[in-house]
Amino acid sequence: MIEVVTSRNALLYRDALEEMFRIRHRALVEFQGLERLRRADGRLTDRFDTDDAIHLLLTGDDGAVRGGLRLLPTTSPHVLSEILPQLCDCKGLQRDPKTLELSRMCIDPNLDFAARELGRNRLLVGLVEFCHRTGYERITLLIKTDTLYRHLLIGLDIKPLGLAVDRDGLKQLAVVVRVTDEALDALRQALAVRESEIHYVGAPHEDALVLGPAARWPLAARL
Amino acid sequence: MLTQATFDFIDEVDRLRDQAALVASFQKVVSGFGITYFMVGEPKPPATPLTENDGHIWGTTWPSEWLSRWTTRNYLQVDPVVRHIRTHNRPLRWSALEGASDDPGKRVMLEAGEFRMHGGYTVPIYSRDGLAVAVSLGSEHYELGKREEACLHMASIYMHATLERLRGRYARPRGPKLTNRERECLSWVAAGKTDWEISQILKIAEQTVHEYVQNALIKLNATTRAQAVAIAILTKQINT
Repeated sequence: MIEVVTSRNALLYRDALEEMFRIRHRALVEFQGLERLRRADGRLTDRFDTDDAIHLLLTGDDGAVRGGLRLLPTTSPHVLSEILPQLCDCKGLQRDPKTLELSRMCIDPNLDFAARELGRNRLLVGLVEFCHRTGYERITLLIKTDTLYRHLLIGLDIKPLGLAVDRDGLKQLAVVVRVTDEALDALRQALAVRESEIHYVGAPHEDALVLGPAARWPLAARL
Repeated sequence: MLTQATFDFIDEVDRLRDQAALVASFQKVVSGFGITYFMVGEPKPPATPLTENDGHIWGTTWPSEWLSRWTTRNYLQVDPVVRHIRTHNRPLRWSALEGASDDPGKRVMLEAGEFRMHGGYTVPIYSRDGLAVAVSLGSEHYELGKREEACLHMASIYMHATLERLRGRYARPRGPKLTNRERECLSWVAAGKTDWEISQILKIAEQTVHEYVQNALIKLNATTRAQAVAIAILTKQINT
């Protein structure tokens, strides 16, 4: 299940968010070896974990948090605008109300290989479906060139914002992904994940974030 | 500006409808970088000879005499650039190979020089099954810097991904394929049959049916039969 956490319902998810911050640390520092992110208390948070952030938590049937990701409105300060604007020097920073920036996507490395793979696929499909159902049209993020290639093959519309640079020993670049019916269909098919169960609970009735109806598969007629 | 030409190419690839148009457009971009000799091809596994017209070379501006020599003498197997990219996932500047003591490899590079290919840059493209394609860019005087190489790397990625899409080769999810028997049994499960009914239909023991179905569940990473059926349909391993 994908659970949406915003500043308006965060109180319901205090423990779950804590678990996600610990999973981030396990995944990025201990598992991937990014020492520059190490924190003494084993919780990886940063200045972008603000009230503007939308967190998507991947939870299992038992309610345990298996992974998550963070989405930031590009109209507020975000990772690319504050830390890596040079990665967008060709196409420019994407700042608009329909574009979200993805960061800190991780799966609990304590899970076994198959569960991690399944979790990653569910989280990715859940992300695109969430954006599709809430009216967001684009996602910007930093990715490795290998990841770019694999996802282009799936049929996603991904365009670079700048050239790739060496970062943390890998070639990475900033890209923008379009959220479309075709993208969601292609991703569900390629990753063998059907409609995601997405929950946004506990927010006030007139919340700015409105989760539209579930997107039945397939969406695009040609499929 | 060269970066602009690269980004324009990336923006327009979606509108190109066939391999010839795509390779021609790519060639135009790389020639803007001073690249006169380019080759896009699928390096076949070692010990498999490559012939000139077997479809594994998607496009090339190599002088035909060099191409002919390279294929008939099977230089694919000794070319140090190809050897390097089989084991390294990163683009390679040919000058970085200087100092290789391997004799046949050195001869290949010298002979390329006879055809005025004195320097170059090769981008390997890896798919999930391994080395899929190599984009080789050569010129008489190779003077490209890091930024230009980054442009060429990205253009190569988009060129190849678009070509794969044009050929209808969408990425399949990772995982072992079901055997014929596993697929057959799962298809009957999808049709609502029990193990016993399937054993009667296929004339095999019920326990055997159960094992085939269980194997399918494991391969598809499914916890229930219904999930296995859904995944198998989605990945086109069974039909409804």
